[in-house]
Amino acid sequence: CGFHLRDKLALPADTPPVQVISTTPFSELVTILERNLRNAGATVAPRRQDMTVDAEAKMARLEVLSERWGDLPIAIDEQGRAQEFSLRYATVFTFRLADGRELVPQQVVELSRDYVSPPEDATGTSTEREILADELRREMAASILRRIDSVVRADLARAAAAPETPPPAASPDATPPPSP
Amino acid sequence: DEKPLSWALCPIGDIIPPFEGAPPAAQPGDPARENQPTVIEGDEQSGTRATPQIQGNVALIRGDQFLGTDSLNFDTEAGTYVAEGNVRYQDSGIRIVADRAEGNQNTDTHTITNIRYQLVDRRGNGGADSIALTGPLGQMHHSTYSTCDPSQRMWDLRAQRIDVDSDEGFGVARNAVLRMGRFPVLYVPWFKFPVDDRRQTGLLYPSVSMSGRNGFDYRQPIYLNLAPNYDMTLMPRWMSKRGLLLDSEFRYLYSGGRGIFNAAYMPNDSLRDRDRGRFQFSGYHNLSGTWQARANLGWVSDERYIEDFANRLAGISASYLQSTAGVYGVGQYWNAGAMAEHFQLTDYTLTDANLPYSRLPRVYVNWEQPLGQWLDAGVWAEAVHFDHSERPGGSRLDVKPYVSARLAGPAWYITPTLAWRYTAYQLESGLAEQLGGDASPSRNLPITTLDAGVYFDRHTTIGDEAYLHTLEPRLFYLNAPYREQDGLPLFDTRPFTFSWGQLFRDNRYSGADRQTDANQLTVALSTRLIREADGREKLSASLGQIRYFEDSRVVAPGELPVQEGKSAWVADGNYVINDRWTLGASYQWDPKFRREDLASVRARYLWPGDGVANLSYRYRRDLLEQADFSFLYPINPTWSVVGRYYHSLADDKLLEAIGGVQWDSCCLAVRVVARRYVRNRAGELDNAVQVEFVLKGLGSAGQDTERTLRRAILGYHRDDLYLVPPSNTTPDPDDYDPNLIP
Amino acid sequence: KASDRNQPMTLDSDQSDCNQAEANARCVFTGNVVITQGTLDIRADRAEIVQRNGEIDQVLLTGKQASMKQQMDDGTTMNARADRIVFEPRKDLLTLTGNFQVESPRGSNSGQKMVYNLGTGQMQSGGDGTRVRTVIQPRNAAPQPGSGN
Repeated sequence: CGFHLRDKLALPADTPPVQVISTTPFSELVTILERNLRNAGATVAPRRQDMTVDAEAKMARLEVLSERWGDLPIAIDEQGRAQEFSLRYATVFTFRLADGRELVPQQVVELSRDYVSPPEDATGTSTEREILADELRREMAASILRRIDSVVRADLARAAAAPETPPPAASPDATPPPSP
Repeated sequence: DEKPLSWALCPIGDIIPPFEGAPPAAQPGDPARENQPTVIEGDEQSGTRATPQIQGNVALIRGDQFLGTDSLNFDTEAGTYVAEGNVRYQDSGIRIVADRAEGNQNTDTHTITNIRYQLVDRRGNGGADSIALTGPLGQMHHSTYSTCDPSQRMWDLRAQRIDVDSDEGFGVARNAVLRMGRFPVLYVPWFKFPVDDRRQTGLLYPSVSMSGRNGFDYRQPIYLNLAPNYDMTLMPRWMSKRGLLLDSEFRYLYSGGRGIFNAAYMPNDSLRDRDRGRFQFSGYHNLSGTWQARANLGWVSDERYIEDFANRLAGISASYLQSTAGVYGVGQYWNAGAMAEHFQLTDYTLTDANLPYSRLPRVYVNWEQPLGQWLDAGVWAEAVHFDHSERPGGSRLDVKPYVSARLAGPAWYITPTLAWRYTAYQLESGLAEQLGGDASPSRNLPITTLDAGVYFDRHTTIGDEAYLHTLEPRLFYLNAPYREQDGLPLFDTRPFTFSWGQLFRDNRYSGADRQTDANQLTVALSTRLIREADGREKLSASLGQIRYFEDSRVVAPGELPVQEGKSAWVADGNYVINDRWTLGASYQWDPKFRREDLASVRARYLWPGDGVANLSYRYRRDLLEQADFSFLYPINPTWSVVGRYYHSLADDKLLEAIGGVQWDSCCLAVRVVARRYVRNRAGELDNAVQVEFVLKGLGSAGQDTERTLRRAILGYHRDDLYLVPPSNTTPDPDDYDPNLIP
Repeated sequence: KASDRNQPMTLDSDQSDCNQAEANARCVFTGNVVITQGTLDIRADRAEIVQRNGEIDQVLLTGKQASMKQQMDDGTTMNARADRIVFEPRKDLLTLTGNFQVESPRGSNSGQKMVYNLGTGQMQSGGDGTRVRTVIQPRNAAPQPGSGN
């Protein structure tokens, strides 16, 4: 039915390293994105402080422009008490090539995980919410890199089809543990 | 972030269009008016050089000021002038048509009589017997002010005197009568209103409402713009049936952090015959490049406070207030934190015993480092002291070092992980006796997992767009030996809500107090349609199930034991049909008992022009079955209807019903909203009819229905649909609030 | 200034052509005509002086903008330019026509036709379908040199 094993991402030799930046200070998402990029075989640029400006100019940049959390009650019981919550995590990101061209246009990724919290016994709500948050961060990193991967593949396929423009440089393969 | 006022229904042209030949509005960099030359043109000039008289289509221009008249007498020495006949005056703040004007250019004072005026910024317009302008200040006598077009005067404010300060952006009306159509509706001895959108000290719009519980409810916020980086808002509030309350908010901002204080005090609330109070602080401070301090503290004077001061269903849903404060750090391969938390009960139908243990304090560290090409090693470690007002507590140390191998190719991955979990307690004597006498129980066991998956792709086109269609089968094997854990307390642990995430976790419980024994294999399949142009996911669907090869002997109190066999099927799906329709569904079917555990469907349709409809059904076995339909339908630019029907099918009880109509026009919007909602913990429903007149540009008299509607009808203001509203995906540094991070 | 009236008047030019009828002499001076009398300083390409019984009746000045500069009683200097200037000392009248420009530190006037009474300070301009324009400098700002056109 047309499905085939995902083939190797033929990245050109001069693929510059990828720099991951987030406007949110202390972002744990950046740590996970950098690890996934390394696991996928990309070279990850060092953090911004210890790098010269012109070195930074030759980087491809994965920019996380905004990270937001939300925890909304989605089910109320007959006494008006919240029974079920939806933990929501949203980021705005864009992926630029070394020459500044926006390969993946600025877009929003919003994920959510629901969890039950009985009002009369809230034991364990905090730990469940904290673990769901970790899972949402890993899922967000996977979702961002999946989008970049599919756009890069499409770009490489188009470039291969019309070879006169040099294929763009970017990160290759998607990360190992993708879950929707 | 109010829904922005829309002037779309106003006639296109200005009430007083800009005068021909008038200079452009003042730009910030322009020199002050007094330092600019005055240019006077006319058909004919007489008089002396010192006191010229100019006749015939005279135009006087100085900086951004323009004065058009038929005849102008000017005294260059004194700087005084008299203009008569077809007088037109314009500057960056106001445009005036009048019979006569006189004034002094040097002192920039002007008196214009028998005028019609329009404020340049917000369509405010009207007439006056006379206006005295002194620089940015305008004093209008026997004047009217409205933002309505003269052709449809819905409302206007008649005042013996209105002082407009276009520098400060404020108008003050004295002895003012507010008229709707021809009927005087409100007499206000003194009334201040902003004439542009800047943040200024002064009164914000008062809000007036009526309810059975509070009686007549008048709130008058006073905004104090103390400094560019801190400000304060005082909100005195008077409720006829309960008394006087002062609410306040103080905000501060600096390069390394920011914070907000909220405090409210009400002496002798006659609803409960006692003093009431509330305090809240939320703020953060960046200690260094890697460490940040955060605090989110809350206190209320009594358990009924939240319910007695809420006027919406969403307002009363919380049962406890969680206060946390801590220091958190993030590094390249690690993150860590030291924090403390405390719970306060805010639900009088419960007792403190229902509150969870407070983690007072908690220290944790999460480390993962690649070892060579294929291995990752890491450790999770946490030390917590648990405290509770009604129950004896204790301390716990939980350490879980692990090593995993990352074997992967472009189309497959296999990640075996071996972890060792060591957990030890130091229990207070009371708790130790309850749990069998051992004051320092411990538990340690190995946990092995194997996560493996394969990727299949194919390229398809839907419509005229190229998509990458993926098929991702995945296996997850978990093995952990049984350890007897009845002697361990339940401080912060409970079974996870069964979900897609649960298929790939190494523990069935949220905290360290219970570690499940397991010999199970998850079989799952995901498929996605990713648009190749920009990577957006049009469709994602997944199906998975756990196969338990043995019974699980670890059980939390009140939990059904997990027997050998198959878990419930878990299916999730999300489909963006087009930019109008989105569908989402989650479903769990338990083959063992042949019953549904969860069935939830969500559909959302976006009408053009701010319209939205949400339909959702949610069933969770033994817990809830609810349906929620809400909509905002714009019949035409003037009329739109809003509605919500939120019904609990399980209890066959209405939770909230809203019906409302909104009539909108150029300068006046009227909203009539009838609501029936669960008002208190006794489940009693309350009826409320809110009528709100939004005098665009002047304020809204009547209850703030917009906030109610936005919470009830997700999407009333479309931006509420998303955490990151599509209308502004440009990130706003102001909305960085680390205290929302769970 | 008023005291200019009893100052000696000097006149020089490239050529001069006078008919000798003493009492009503009419002389035409052409080429870099310069007439000074006290603080009064007149420049033109062509000047025609008409005398009537020994008194100067009219001075006609034309040029690629004939110009006339004089210090006023209040100490400020007044500087006028026009394509054609007619000066009638007995009536103390000055008539400027053709793109006239009258400047003083306090401001400037411009237009096509102006009649200016040096004694009373009265001036009359425009009224012939063209526009007149007055620019008044701000009180405290230093007068910009030759501001405006």
